[in-house]
Amino acid sequence: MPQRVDRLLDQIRTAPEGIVGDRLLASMLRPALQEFDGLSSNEAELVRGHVLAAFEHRMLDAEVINVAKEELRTSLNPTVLAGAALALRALQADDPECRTLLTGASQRLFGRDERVSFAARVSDASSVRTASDEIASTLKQWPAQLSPCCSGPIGTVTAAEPRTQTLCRHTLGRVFIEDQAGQRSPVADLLRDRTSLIAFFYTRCMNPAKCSQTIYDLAELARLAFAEPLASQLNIVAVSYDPDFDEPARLHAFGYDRRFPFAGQARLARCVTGWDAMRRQFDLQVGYGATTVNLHSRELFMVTSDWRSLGIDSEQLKRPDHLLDRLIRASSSHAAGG
Amino acid sequence: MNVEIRFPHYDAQSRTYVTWRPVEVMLKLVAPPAGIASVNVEVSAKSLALGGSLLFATTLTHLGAASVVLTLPASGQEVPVWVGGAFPAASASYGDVAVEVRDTGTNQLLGTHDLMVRIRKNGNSLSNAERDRFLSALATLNGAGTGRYSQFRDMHVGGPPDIEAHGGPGFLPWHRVYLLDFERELQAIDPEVTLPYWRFDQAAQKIFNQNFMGVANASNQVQFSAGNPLTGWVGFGLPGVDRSAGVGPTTVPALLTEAQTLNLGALPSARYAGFRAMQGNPHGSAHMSHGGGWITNPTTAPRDPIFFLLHCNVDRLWAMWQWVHQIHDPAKPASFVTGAFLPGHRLPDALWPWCGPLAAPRPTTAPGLGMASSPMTTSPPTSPAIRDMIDYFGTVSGTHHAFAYDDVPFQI
Amino acid sequence: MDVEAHRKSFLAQLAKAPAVADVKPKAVADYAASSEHDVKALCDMIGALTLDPSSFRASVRTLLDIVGNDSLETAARLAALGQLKAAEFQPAEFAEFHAEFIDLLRRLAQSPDRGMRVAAFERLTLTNDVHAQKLLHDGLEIGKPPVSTVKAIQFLARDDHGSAVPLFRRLAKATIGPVREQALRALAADTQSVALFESIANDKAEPTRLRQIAAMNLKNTSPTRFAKVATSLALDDQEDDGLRAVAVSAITHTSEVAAKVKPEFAASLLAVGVATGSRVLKASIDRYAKAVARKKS
Repeated sequence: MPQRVDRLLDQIRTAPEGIVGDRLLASMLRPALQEFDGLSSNEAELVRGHVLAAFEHRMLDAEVINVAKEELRTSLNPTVLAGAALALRALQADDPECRTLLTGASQRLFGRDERVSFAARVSDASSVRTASDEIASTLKQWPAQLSPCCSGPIGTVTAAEPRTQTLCRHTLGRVFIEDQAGQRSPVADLLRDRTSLIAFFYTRCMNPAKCSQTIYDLAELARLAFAEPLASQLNIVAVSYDPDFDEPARLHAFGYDRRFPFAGQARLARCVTGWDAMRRQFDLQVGYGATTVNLHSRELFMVTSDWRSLGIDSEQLKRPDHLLDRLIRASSSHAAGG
Repeated sequence: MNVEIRFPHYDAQSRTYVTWRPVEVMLKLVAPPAGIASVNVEVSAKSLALGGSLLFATTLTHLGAASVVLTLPASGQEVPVWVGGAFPAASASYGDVAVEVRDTGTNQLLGTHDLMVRIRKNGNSLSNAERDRFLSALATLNGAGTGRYSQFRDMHVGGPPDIEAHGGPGFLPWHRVYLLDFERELQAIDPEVTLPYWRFDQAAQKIFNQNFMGVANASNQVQFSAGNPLTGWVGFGLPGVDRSAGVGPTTVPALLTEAQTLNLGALPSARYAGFRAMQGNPHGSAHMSHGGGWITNPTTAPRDPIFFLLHCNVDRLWAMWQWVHQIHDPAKPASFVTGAFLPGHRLPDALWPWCGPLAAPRPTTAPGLGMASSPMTTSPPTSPAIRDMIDYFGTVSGTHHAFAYDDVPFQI
Repeated sequence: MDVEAHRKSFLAQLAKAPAVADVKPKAVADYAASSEHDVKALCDMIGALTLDPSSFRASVRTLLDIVGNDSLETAARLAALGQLKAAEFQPAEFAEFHAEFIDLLRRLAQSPDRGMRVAAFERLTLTNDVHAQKLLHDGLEIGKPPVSTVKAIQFLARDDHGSAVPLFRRLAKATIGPVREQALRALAADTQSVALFESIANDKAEPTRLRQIAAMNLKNTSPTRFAKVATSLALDDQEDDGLRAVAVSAITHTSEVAAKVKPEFAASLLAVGVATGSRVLKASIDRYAKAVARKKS
């Protein structure tokens, strides 16, 4: 595995200039990339940090910027955070959100900062800097005054398109889930004729800002839903990325520890058959090491009764009342045939 | 004619537990013979061999006596008596001590009430039965990794949680809540159990053997005897305990002795500002005395069950320092320290995770579901602040936390 | 007992306690730099360095310099490293040194001094340092790990998100003795090794210790299959009593396993408890009986 890491780092260092290299590197930011199969979480993050750092002098598109921001939002890994800071250094104008995220990342590094070096940048030890140094340098390059525009060296940044797809009810009819109480059902039955909010997580996730936080926030939304009659038909489900390990007892313990209000419409589950099909249906951004997940995005989907799945920014879980409102509207709209 | 004895609190099995700190018990005369206005009674304790013992008084005091005489009115009006464990005679099991009420004139036994003087003890002095009860409760709480133990592990990890637990003078109060919460979870499984402590400035042959906390081999694997419930322990991911062989049955770790620790911050007058240096030595040194393994890093330490005994001793040292210098009042400057400390480390600050999720850069999740309750007391609150954890005996606040140490008496 | 008299007596004893040695960081640094220093005396001075807030920075700086000094004796450097690891328990004060500390450890992981290498890996792998893991993994793959094979496996196994499991699987099948044992331990969360665990746990020809490891691994990865194996072991009078006791203990303290045993198991087990002459097995069964009784009540 470590030799594979070396090869991946070489690939990053030798990525061609220009758009071809930019696209190659951007593709390496997808957690589900086959090249990452079998890597440990730390190896995958090391590579990810290097990919991000390589964008210091490259064109940034919306996807790369969003990846960098998401890492600044949640990552605990100094290499990844330094890489994200370097990637955003390519932004010529100040972005208030970037500034906030960089500041937050720097605070999160308190007590766990490390010296980082990137293959493409460092030639001698004296220029090795810490992740905090890189974040501070990126923050310093922007003027104190906010600028109205936010652009990379070439082109304009736009928000990433939300992921939408139509799910196949027949495929999902062959995917079975088992919830924390050991109740099994086909996914298709779960989704049929109602609006669902589906999150993905796993109990062994090492980053509390990701899966642990997701379940906490989902629990809050579920409590709000229980108190709202209009939400009575909503499904609120979190499905494990790690079905072999996340047996019902583990699902229950994880949810219980996070105040998840288990009830008919709110559950934690794992796939007992058809996990690969589920992954493909939702185009999940998750990669696997030798035994468990090595990298994953925070993934949240609204699935409506017409089998359409819409990707939702997980940050919306921080406003559960707004998100619930959105789910209720979607549910009502589809119930009315709209 | 008999006397009803009513303790202030009972658990679901109608049992009651006390520490050295007296509690107010009510006595009531029932069915007295006609024509009498009152009956004089003597309240005393009956102890089994090696059982607990009690002291009695008419007010909250440490100066109780082996018995007290009271007058109970025939009207049935309740009369209070303060009952506490007689230091240092702790119970070994429930019912090894009882309150007895006798008619002073006839010596007739009018009432009796079993209880337990439930005290945290030196792990090296536990009887086999006490040790086994503790281990069984601990293994049940661990639940092979899926029990409530995982919350305590997840509260004490690197990053923002580490700053909450170790990032300032709140270190001792934070761990006091942590241990109390943990102990209450154990008592929910077996109410006779308390957290034992590892007195790390002495050899602990009975702790570091295969029947208790295990013995590490050359491969950092802790070996347990076949019947030890910890054979199924899962601290994190893999079963087993990762610990080096730094502390064996005869090892006396190189760290400050108890006396040296208690002298920290003692001159010219005792102050917490000086005492809190114990976070480095002996606390950090105790962690490191094992040489390697989970216990030697803050991120991984609670994966090893010895962690709880280590920290129980840290808390005992604080409790002993408080007693020796009579510093229990959070209003006294000497009891804590003021300054520009991080949030979570100032006297009025609520302690994470019991206060719930916080805004970044503090932890945004909160394992633990709030402070476990106790049937024996309403204190501390579900979301305790630092100031709530200083007067654990209720010497000024009137409410106590229902724990005590075998060598730290109650004194007002 | 007269508590106040006890307190006064206690205070009097405290007054007689030997004072804590007041060792200043500069004194330690100067002594370490002296060509005539005695190693044991230096180690004692290092151990006596205080980490209280007033001298923390100076102490940690001195300790880092000692650990990083390749010309100093290993014992002194290890003593200083122990103190630095203790200092990590004060994260707010240690924060400014953390990056330098990790960097130093990564360098020491490639030290020609074996003692320093092992100590560096010991610390780095507790927090899953990817650079340390790479050195261990690369070394194991070519049969030349920077520490012993057993230690290398143990250190790598600390990361349950690691990439060395395929290597552990190979070693668990192809080696014997301590390496095989360690490799088996390292597979404890590997759901793909369930069949291996079951096979070893059931095989009376395997050493009892390995069977116990395999059984615990099976409990971790497949409570359902473990319940079957454990109940069979527990009731088999031809089995090692220690192993049976461990199996019973695991059933007692793991609710999802206890939920999967057959209803008639309890009665059969209690009968074993009455008949057995093994104290450890009897004690284990007694605990099981108490747990069952508590659950019923």
